[in-house]
Parts: sequence; C-alpha cells; structure tokens
Amino acid sequence: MTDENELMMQVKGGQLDSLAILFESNKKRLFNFFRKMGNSPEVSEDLVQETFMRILAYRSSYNGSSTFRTWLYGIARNTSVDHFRKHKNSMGHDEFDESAIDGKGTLTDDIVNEQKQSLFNQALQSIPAELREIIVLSRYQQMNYEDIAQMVNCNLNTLKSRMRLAVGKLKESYQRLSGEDGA
Amino acid sequence: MNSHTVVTAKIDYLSGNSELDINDSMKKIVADDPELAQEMRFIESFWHKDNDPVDEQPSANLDVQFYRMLSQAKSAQTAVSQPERLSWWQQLQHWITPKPMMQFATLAVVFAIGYGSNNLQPQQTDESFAGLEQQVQSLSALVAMSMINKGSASERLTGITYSRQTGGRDPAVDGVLLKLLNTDRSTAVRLSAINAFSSRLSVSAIETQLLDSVLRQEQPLVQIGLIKLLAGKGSESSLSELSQMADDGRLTPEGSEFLQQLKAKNLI
Repeated sequence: MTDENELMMQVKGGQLDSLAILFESNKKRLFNFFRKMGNSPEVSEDLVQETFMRILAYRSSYNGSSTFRTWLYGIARNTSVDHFRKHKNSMGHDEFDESAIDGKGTLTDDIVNEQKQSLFNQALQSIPAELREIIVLSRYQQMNYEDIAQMVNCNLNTLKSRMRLAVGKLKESYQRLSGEDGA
Repeated sequence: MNSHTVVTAKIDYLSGNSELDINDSMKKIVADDPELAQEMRFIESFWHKDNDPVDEQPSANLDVQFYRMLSQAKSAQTAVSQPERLSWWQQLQHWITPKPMMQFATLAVVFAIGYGSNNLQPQQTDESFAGLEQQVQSLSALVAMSMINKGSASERLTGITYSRQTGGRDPAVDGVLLKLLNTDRSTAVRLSAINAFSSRLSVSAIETQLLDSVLRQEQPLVQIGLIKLLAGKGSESSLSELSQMADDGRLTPEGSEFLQQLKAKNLI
C-alpha cells in the first residue's frame, strides 16, 4: 500500500508514467468491483477508464491522508453514482450476466458451488445499491471496516449495523431465489 | 447479549475485521435459536472459500483506451510546462535540499572519495574507484534484470523504470528489455520498454534491433510508439528504412498510416 501511495505522490508531482503502474495493479480489481455492483462488462470498463481519468484530473487533491486504495475507491464510487444519475431513466442496474460466472465444471461439487455463486450474485444484485456496496467492498474487495467507513462517511458502529442489515437482506433474497423461503 | 451481537461478531470475524470468532456463550445462543442458527449457516456459506469471487479479466480495449488517455495527458503536460529559469541561489538551494536518497548517495560518494584519497596510493585510487563503480553497476543491472523478469506486468513496469533510473548500460539488461519489447503480453510493458530505449539509440546495434522490432509488433500502439522513437531520435539510415516500410505493406494499417503522415510532413 505504501508503494501505491508513493506512486500516487509521484503522479501528483508530474511523473505521469507512474499512473501506468497504478493502473496495471488495480484495473482488474476495480473492473470486478464495478461488475459486482451490477454493471455490464462494457460499462465496467468505461467506469474504470473514467475513474483513472478523474485520478489524473484530481491528482493535485491527493494528500496521502488516506491510503491510495481508499482514495481510489472513493473516486470509483462517485464515478459510479454519476453514471447511475445520468442513466437512471434507462436503467436501474444492468442485467446481471450469469454466463460470466458459469464455469465448465464437470464434478457435482463444482456445479453445486457454481450454482451457489450464481445465486449469491443474483441475490446481491437484488438488494439496495448502498447495502450491496458495503458487501462488495468488504467481501470481494477485502477492504477493512475503517477504510469503508471513511469512504461512505459514517462511524464504525453505523457501518457494522449496515453490514448486518445488508447480510440480512442478502439472505432473504438468496432464500427467495433458491426457493428456501418456504414459498 | 442478543442475536444482533452474535451476527455482528461472526461477520466481523469472517470479513477479517476481528481475530476472534464467536465465543462459547454466543455459540449457546445460536444453538438455542434455530432461526439464528440458519442465519449463521448462511453467513458462513457466503464467506466460505468455495464461494470466493471468480475474477473476470477486462478486455484489451481498456488498456488501449487508458494508454491513449495517458499519452494525451503527457503530451499536454509537455506542451504546457515551460522551462523554469532558476537563479544561481535557487539552484544552490535546490541542490542542497534534495531527497534523502540523494543526500545519502552524495554523502556516501563524498566519504568514499575522501577515504580513498587519504588512504590509497595515486595509482591505486583510479583502479579501486573503477572497480567499485563496476561492482555497483553490475549490482544495479542484476537488480533491474530480476525486477524485469517478474511475473506480473506491474512488477515488470517497476523493473523497467528502475533500469532507466539506474542508467543501465548493461548489454544483458538491454537484451532482456528487447525480449520484453518483442514478446511481452502486456502493451503497457512493451510501451515502457520503448521509453527505456529512448536514451540508448546512440548504440547502433540497439537501433538496428528496434528497427527489426517495428515489423514484429502486431499491436498498432506499440508499433507507432517505436516508429515515433526512431523517427524522432534515429539516424539517417533508420529514417530511410522507415520510409521504405511505409510503402511495403508489412506494417499494421495504423502503423502504415502513421508513417505516411510522417512522410507527408517530410519527417522521414
């Protein structure tokens, strides 16, 4: 992480080549963040590109008080929010592309796991975006609570209670989709 | 203690925000509450390693778009930045307050020179200093090569930057950089290798190999990057070779079009 902070300080100082290193080490993770938030592959790539454009544009505002990753995801969130605001009439979120996670497993366990993952993903897309976001940041981006709380601008206790609520909603949705809700 | 506390503790533990799993009294609460037990099973299943994310790979188009944007930003930066004329006092201040690494390096060199001049015979001084310099250069080359040969593109990019910073003149480093330029799967790494060669065109063997490399490149961005370097800093013979390439149909359409534009402007 420290290396990334130093690289970002270099970008701020005018060494734009260092942005290429930051891009290479974060593009896949960021792309998957946008995918998990319910965007199509094409939109996710556009959002990654837009995020790095903003990093370049706002580089002078980086002061190293938070980790580069927290700052990056803060910009990514704003980029995503702006995208939804612009397209809110045409879409809530993109149809989740199940083919992206349909694997080629032949063993029963593999198939069961893939079905489970597919259901988790579908359930995730069905819960409110602000709850989905904290699950994605914690579970899939492996960010710690301090960083997420700073990003979403709340205290730790509030974040924990939102996390509990988010997981509760996810469970309800999962059970509904898998037919385990007794319906 | 209620079920919320238990759920929160479990999520904290599984998400890596706490080192402690639920304790025995919490386990008892779970055992006594079937609904809570079911919730705990769901949470454990969601965080289970079998359900770890299968990360997707973005397409090559993302790289193309990003490096185009970066290239434009660098061009704009070059156009905007004016050379700043510093007074002799500002230059002295600038020299006196460099980064800690530079300060340390300067002190080390001053110490080495002082120690050498006081302890060695005149004929020994030159030989020892040259030997020391050679050792440092070999070590820098080894470090650069080790970094360049790493598995991930970002590590290789760091290695290329390091090889440029240490002013690598080692033929072995040049060889590895050429290999990256011709075979690396990452466009970014290939473009960075081109940048690393920008100060090495005075070596005719390198210039020849870069000319050969133009024809090997299938990525238009890399091909154009090489053409740009050779057209800007290459020798007369390189310019003439590029001029021939413009018409012989061996380049990508984009590379060929770029060369035609350079020809039209009499730049090659």
